[in-house]
Amino acid sequence: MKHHRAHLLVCAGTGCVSCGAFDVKTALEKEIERRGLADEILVVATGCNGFCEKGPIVLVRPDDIFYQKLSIDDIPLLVEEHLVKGRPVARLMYTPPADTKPVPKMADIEFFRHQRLIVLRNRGRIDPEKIEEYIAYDGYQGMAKALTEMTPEEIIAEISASGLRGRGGAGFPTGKKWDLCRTENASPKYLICNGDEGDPGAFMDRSVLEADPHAVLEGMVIGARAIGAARGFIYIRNEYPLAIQRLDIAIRRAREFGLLGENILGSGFDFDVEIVRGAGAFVSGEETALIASIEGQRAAPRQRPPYPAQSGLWGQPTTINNVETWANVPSIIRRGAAWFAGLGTETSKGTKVFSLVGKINNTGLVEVPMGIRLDEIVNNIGGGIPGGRKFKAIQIGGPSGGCIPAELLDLPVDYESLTKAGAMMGSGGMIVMDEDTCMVDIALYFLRFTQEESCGKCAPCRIGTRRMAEILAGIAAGEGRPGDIEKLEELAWTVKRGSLCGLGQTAPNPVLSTLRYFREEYRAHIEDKTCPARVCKNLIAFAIDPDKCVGCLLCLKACPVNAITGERKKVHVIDQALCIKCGACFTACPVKIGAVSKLTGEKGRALVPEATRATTS
Amino acid sequence: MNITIDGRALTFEGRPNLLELARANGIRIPSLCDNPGLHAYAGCRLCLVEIKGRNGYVPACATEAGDGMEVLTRSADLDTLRRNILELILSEHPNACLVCAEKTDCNDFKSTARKVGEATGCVLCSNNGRCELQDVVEAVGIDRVRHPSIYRNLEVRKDDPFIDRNFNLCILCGRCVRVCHEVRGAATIAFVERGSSAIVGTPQDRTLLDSGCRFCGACVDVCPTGALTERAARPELLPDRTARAICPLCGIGCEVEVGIRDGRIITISPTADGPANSGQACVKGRFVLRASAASPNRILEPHVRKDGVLIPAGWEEAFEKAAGLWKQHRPEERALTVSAQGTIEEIFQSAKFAAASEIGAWTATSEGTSCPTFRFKEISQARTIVLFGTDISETHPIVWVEVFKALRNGARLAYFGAGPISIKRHVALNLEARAGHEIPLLAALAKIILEEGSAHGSGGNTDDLRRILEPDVPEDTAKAAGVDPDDLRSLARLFAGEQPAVFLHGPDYGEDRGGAGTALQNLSLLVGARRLSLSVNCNGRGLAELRRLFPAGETSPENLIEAVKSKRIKALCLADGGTGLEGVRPDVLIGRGAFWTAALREADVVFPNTTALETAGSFVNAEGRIQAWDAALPPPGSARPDTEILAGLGQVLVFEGFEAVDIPSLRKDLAARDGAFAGLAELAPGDPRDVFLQVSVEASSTFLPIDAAIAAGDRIDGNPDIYKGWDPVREVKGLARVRNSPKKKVT
Repeated sequence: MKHHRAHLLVCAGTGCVSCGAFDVKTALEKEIERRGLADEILVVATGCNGFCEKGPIVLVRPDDIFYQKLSIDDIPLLVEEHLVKGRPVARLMYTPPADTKPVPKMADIEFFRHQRLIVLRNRGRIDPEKIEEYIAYDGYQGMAKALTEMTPEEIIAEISASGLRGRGGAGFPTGKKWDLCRTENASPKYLICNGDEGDPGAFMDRSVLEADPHAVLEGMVIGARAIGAARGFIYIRNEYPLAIQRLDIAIRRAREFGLLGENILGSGFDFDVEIVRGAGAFVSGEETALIASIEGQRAAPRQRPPYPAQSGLWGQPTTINNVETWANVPSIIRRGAAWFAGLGTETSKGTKVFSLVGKINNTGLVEVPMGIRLDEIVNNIGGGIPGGRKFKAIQIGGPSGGCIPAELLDLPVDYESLTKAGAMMGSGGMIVMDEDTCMVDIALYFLRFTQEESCGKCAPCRIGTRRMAEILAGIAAGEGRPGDIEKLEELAWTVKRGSLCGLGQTAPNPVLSTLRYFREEYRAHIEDKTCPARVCKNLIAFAIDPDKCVGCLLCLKACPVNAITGERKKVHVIDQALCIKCGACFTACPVKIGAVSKLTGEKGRALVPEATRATTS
Repeated sequence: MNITIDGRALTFEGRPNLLELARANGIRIPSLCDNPGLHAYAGCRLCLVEIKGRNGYVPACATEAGDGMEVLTRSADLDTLRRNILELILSEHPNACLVCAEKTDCNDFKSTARKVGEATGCVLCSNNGRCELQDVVEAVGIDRVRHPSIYRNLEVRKDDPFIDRNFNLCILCGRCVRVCHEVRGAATIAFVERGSSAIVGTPQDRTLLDSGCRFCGACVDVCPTGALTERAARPELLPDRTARAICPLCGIGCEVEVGIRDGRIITISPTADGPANSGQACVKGRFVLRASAASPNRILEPHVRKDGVLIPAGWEEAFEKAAGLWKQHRPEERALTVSAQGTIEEIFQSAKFAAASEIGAWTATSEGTSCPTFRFKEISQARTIVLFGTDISETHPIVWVEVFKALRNGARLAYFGAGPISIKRHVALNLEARAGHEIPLLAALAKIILEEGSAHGSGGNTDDLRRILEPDVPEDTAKAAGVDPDDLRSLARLFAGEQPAVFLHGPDYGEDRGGAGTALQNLSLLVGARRLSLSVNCNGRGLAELRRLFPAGETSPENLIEAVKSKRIKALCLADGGTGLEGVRPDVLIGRGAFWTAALREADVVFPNTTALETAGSFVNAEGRIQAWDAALPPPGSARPDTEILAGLGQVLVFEGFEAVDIPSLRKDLAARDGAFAGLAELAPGDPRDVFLQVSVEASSTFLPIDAAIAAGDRIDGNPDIYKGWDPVREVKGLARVRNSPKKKVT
């Protein structure tokens, strides 16, 4: 076996790949080859490291040096300085925003320091396409123990004792779900992995599948043994080609190694899986709709009961769990329920993977123990709000969830606390918002999403969300009327109580939660025709302060509709009749000068003539 | 088991859902997407109820009643929720009339029919007055819709025969989609798009015709609004009375309801629970039968030939003329024809007339095969079904519905014949042989089964069969027939598969003393399959029994034509237009028929008779079930039922026994004479009991020799669409389009 003196782990999750990670990898390999170091230095592509804000990322082992935001131009310097001369390159390291000193080691970086990896334990340290590396890090040990030393009942007892709850959003106790299926007499039974991850901003499941597909496979074999299934399906949304590719490779390799298929590990247990690709709908993440999709039907949800545990795929008992849930299983079996239950809170055990996105410095994927406080996630791990802006709210749970305002930032992150506050753990999407985010606009964004993704089967969701979106759009466009909020609340009640599936039942949540904590903002839109965050196009106007403008022509050139007139060194003026409120001038004006401002309310209206105000978008 | 609904203590058995249980006990829960015979959809959300101890609300249609449940269908919250949901539905359906304060008075003033392209309110909608949405709005009580009304402005689809589709009125209940997929197996329509754009559509938005639709009308029947309508009924008002009838256009005997106004047929649709058809119909009964009553080809009065030309005449004159001509020839030179489309009473009367005339010969111009009685519903219990030469989706759509039920339960379907057939995609094994090779192939199948030892049957002596099949070599036979020998073996193995097995066949494989029918009989005996004969004509099965009552002298149509040409037969009386006997011109030709045919135009005297809609009568359908009905309409012109025509002729000829012509007397007489029709005596129209022929036709329990030279089966009318000489394909353009559509071959 060849020993290298250094491993260069190139992050090859979709985020980094789209910023050129593979080009960086190729450049590294070429440079190393050119330098004759190929025998000493190994370059490996791994799954997502999680610190997506800073990609492309390369981790140098064994030193644990973390390089970020690399371009191919940096490579010759990096190889020369660090790999040949042994001097890590400070310029390419991570430097915290409020600091000047770089933090060389990954383990010391705040973003990573507070995390606790179970599901993502292999991220960034193995090549996901090499089963040997998965096995080297105790891969398939849990499965071996389950197949050779445990009965199905014992497996389920262990999962139950761990307190693992479904990570797809509902948080149903996993052990109980498996037990309900195991006790059904019908045969055959099926196992399904729900990889349809559809929440905007969520990429937890994608990262798991790209970084460590075997973790999911191992979990599924253990689950199949517990409930008595011989066939499993991994349903992945079609928009995840890299995940599908890596999973496909993993399945083939596992079969070759006798870890999947007939007579696994000689135990006599048969189980095999196939990949089923989604057809582009958010609603097919709902379990009964997903089952319908696998059956070849239209992905519309079905009334429950009967639940899939009794009658699921093709009418047979079926256990369906989320990617993240499956990925937890091997560790629990390998290390024991007590170990897992030692993490987290009384009712929410273990860890949870969150995607931290939005107005946050450290955008990325984090895995933290349940019970961690929200402000720790936002400020320590997330590094706070960029540009010195003020935190306003954090949206948790995607289109089914709600926002938590600043005054509740000390909330512990667990299923019950979040639900009580009007949000939802959901699949773990966390969208951070600052003072420049309009809550009405956010509610409208999510409602439009659910409206478009509604399957159309039941009237409350199909029509109710549309009526709600119309009212919200009116409010955002400055056409809100007294009574609109009450209408929204009544419609929300109807849609929540009347809808057939979780999509409809939770679609009004973003509206209800923003109304709960930001009612004043709605009132301002309706009664004062003001958008306090200065986002809603109809309620704002862009203006150039003549006292600040230096006549640099930057905004003039940036304007896509030539609405700005002016000459060099002369004050520029925006023609409100032409302005489309895109904000290009606002961004173009240098920060030091800050001549462009957004006006709202009375001041805004004074600028924009009535006749030229945009109509409802 | 016990349950409480709205405080009322009720008991129940079995596993009903809450909606049907409530309705059975007179508790009304509104619903728009539920429909008997379809799986619960739970999409409209109007039937939500509260169960004590359970969070939230559950749809009554999809929730099984449980022992000890306490259910609430009304509460302040539930009522509000139901009203709100209905309001949402109405916000996307033209609702001005639905919630208008004047709507009851309006009917008094706006009562004329409308011929508008699009319905923007109830008064302009052809479904006004029979709309389930109107009923639900009434029951829930809504007087305004607090949302802006959205009109989807979808194009009204009128490019198909018979059915108009206006999806601006669609409430997405899904019944049409479900009946098409779950009951009819055509899967022509489905939901397309999603969210607000979700609507019912066809693949690539093609016409129904191009999507393989059979125009059975089931979707129109289940649609609760005016979204799917029968085009011919749209400009009409609602019927002011209905009559129950049995459709005469094929051997199924569907029970239908005829809607009539001012003496005209407005619409014909299947009753909810006809014993043979269980609420289903086909394009002929649903959309085409209505055109028979007022066809321009109807014969409205008697005609006699004077100076070489047929001219209208009175009944007495016609009777006198006909009787005179009939008496001119000796009895043995007289002949008559019988059709399997006449009612039992008409055929019986015909038999009496034949006997009284002491005729020399008679022939049946359409099939009449005797076989054991059965019920269509039994087919759905079969595990293996083989179709022999019959494309049941075309010829017996209701039987197809039962076959489809079996397939949904996991049964397997095979086809043997000179295909292709339109339901090919449902067929597990498709054996299309060259026409004329059926008999050797059947023999080859039997031989393979004997060789492989996979016979299930317990009757017959297989040594007999071995001797009968001795010379056959399956591989050679297969190749000569254009069939892959492996397919033949697969079919043989299919028979060794799951029982019970059912063979379905048409008249091609009927009783024939040595031909294809015998070969099939041997095969079914060998395999232990039930052989079910599907007669094509409405009274084919009845004719098979009624033959006994005719005098000796039955001959084939070909022989009769020969006899006329050689002048052994000089006087001929035709029944039902005499289809099949065109160009036959004996010395004396008397014709009875409802529609002008080529044969009748040659006649010396023509008597106009009625269709099944215009006379009381009864048929025996393919099951052997006897169904009776009363006249739905008065006959057109001066047409009379055939029983009366023959009685009138008989009286003038001074035959005995033709005095009483009322139907009950005829039935009593027949029941007394022939035990098979014993049940007919007490049969009242619409009798809910099952009344069958009382026959003991046992399938043969010995293997019979095959003579491949014998032509297959009885002679049948070439065109099963023709009814008493009426050619609906010629007269109803829509039916021609359906019959000629190339797309039906790939359904």
